[in-house]
Amino acid sequence: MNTASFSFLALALIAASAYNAGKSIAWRQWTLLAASICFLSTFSRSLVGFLPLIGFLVLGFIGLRAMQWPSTRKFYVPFLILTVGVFVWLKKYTFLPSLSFLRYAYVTIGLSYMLFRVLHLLIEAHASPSFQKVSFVSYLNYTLNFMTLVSGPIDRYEHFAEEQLVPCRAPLSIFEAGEGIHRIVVGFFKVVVLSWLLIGLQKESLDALSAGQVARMRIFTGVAIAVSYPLYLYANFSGYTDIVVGVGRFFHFRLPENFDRPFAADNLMSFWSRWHMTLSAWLKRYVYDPLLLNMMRQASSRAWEPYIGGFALFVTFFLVGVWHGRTSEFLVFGLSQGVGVGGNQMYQILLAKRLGRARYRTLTSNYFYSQLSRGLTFAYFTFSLFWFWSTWKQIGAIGHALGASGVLSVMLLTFLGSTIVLSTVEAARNWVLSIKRDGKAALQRRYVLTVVDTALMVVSLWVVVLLNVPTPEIVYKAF
Amino acid sequence: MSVVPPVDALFPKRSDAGVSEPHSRGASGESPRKFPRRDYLILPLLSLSTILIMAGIGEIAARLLWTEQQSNSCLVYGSAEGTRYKPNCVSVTKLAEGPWVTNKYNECGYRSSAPCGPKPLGAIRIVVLGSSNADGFMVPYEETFAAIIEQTLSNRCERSVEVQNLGVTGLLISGAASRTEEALALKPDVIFLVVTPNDLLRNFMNEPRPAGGRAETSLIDRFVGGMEASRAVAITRHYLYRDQELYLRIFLKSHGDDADYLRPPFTSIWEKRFQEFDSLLTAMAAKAQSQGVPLVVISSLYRQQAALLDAANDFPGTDPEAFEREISRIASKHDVLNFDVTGDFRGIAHTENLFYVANGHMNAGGQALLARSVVRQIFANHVLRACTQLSGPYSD
Repeated sequence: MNTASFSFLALALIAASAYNAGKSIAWRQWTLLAASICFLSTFSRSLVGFLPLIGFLVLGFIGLRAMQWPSTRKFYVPFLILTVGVFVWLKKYTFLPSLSFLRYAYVTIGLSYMLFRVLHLLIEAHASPSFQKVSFVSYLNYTLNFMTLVSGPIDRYEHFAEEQLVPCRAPLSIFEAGEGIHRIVVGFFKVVVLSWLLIGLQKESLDALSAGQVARMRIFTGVAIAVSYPLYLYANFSGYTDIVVGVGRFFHFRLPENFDRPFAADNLMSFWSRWHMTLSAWLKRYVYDPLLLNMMRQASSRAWEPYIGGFALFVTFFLVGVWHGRTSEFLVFGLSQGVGVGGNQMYQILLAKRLGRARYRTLTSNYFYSQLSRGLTFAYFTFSLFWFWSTWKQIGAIGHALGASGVLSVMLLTFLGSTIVLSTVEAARNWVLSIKRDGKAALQRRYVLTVVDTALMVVSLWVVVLLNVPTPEIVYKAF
Repeated sequence: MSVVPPVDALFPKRSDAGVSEPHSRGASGESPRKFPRRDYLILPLLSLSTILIMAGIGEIAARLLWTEQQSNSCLVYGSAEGTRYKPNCVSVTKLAEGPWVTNKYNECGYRSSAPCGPKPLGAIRIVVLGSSNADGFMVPYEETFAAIIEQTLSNRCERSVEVQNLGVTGLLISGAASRTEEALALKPDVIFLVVTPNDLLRNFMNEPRPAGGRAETSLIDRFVGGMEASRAVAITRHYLYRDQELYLRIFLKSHGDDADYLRPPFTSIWEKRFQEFDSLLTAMAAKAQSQGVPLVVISSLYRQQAALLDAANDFPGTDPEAFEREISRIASKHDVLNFDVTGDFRGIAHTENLFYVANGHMNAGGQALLARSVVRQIFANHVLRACTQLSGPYSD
């Protein structure tokens, strides 16, 4: 079942109605679990296909229980290794011998996100003896929640439990329902209209690109290929997040946000704090912080601190990249993210050292510097994404069609073009938000939102129902 | 003094909680959160107004992007029987989903490239009677079935073959029948009468509608009529109806009596329509036979019939060939030959490509297939003996 589909919304509507009909915690837990199992069951008709997933979840629960019993807490590291190992094996990472893999088709939908949740539980339960007891039903609801199963967002268990295991709750307010509908409508539009148009543009551009094209057209085709994908990925993934966050409102859930206008970022560190935010937060807590702390403890001089920070960032964002896939292309994607974010950190440190704090601040607050940085950040991410969406063969073909000077021209044009477009968008956004009435941005007033949402809904329905356009799959579903 | 940027700035705020601030509308100051009662009325009205404004903009955009010229300036509307084209007239027409078409009519007002005067010596002359499908509705002349059979037979028969097309879009079956004498005056070697379900249906427009039918002047009918005239709706249908299954489902559900010829046994109204056709054909056949001119009935198709040919099993109770069988039965009663063209439309993967998707009439592809089927059956039935004797058996 696709998240951006009417069947998903119908399931959510039925589940939310049942969920809100009962007052007891047990009723809500079992209702949510039933909805999640219904959703999961649409991915395979065979029970055998779910066995590896069930095995993984059972292993995670045993690990969690083991961490909460004093006599078995010593198995913390083996359990962590085993959990990650089973995940890598089930996901069939290419560095493992293929003979070791299971020989039948099985469901791995949302497995990566389950791993993050299971590791979070294991680590927290081990770190804190006071970590709350997690029942099996709560554990299943946390790991299998149909709203966040496919591609997150990655919530913390404490927050999840806080919202689900509350004994008494107020009925759904019209504001919550309004917020939910708004997010669902916006999400649908992003997934079914914007991402459909953008991936269509990229496919057409890829088909059109050839060495026989007129040089100028070839450059523009190259720019269209490069630029359409990050915009598509954003529309697709953030649209999905909007839908599930909106659906969550009907269950009284405030699911964490995953995006905060990432293309407004003027450096890569800022970008990753706005893109797939819950993954960045998870990695900060469980990779960056422990790694930095450990290395700081072992560092002989304070002079090493900045470099240690840069290295810890490199490792963290290298892992972010590598997590996305199992092939060598993703290794390069991971390296590009690690080098980008780590390098960004080092650049800031060295520049601040060279200029001094005051001049450094003056420079970074300069309008043109800031706009150029934004364009550069977008361009860097755009080109690093080539190793995300294409193969070595395809990259070679594109490079061959463009030629060395063509590639450089595409990069330059993408950088300059995105600088101009993004700064214009930011300026337009600021201007629109500055139009206020009764102290509130006019664009965020409910009357305006009603008009905008209706318009988006009409366009989405026209595309899906009348044009019969197949809804694009959620890209992150594959991870 | 350290110049290292604070680590927390590198990651999302409130990351420990994994929660960000609530969405703007919820959090940005509905304080105190009170929902005014008037908004229960204003918000739905705003929503409805938006839909109406978008529909208006959509309609204007559709009219600008998909131009249409359905009315044919050469058509003279008289009484139903008298509807015909002006002699020596040229007009330009276009369906929103089709190409621009230039219609040229000869000195008799027939859509034919050949003059309608005395038949040239040694030439074979074919006369076509019927309505839109005979006329080649919204299809360029060279691509109409009449022009294609003229060209094909001229090549095959090694002698001049001309088609005088008396087909008029909108002509009723009674109107076509009333032109039999005009057709015979052209001294044809054969007359083709092209019949479609609509020709029979429209012939009885003044008859009482079946039970459950609505008064035609009701508000609902006016609204539906308005929607039918909408270009945006037509274009939307064009895209929507590319899905064959969906098209059939909608067609069968939304068309009652109009689609009952697909649902045998026929209703009493349809039985009456066939009886009327029977008597018209009796008169036509008698006139043609008295002058020794073969009369051939061709029961042509609309998109819904073609679509059902390979999907009837998915729609229980339907039979796309029922109409054709009934026409064939009536024709054989009067020793009139009937060409069954349905077989040639069966087994085609995308029959929607042979029709104007939303309009339902044959496009150039459908007319070409119709022509091929007719030519094949001309040879199979030795209809034009002079030609078939010269050329031998026909094959594609």
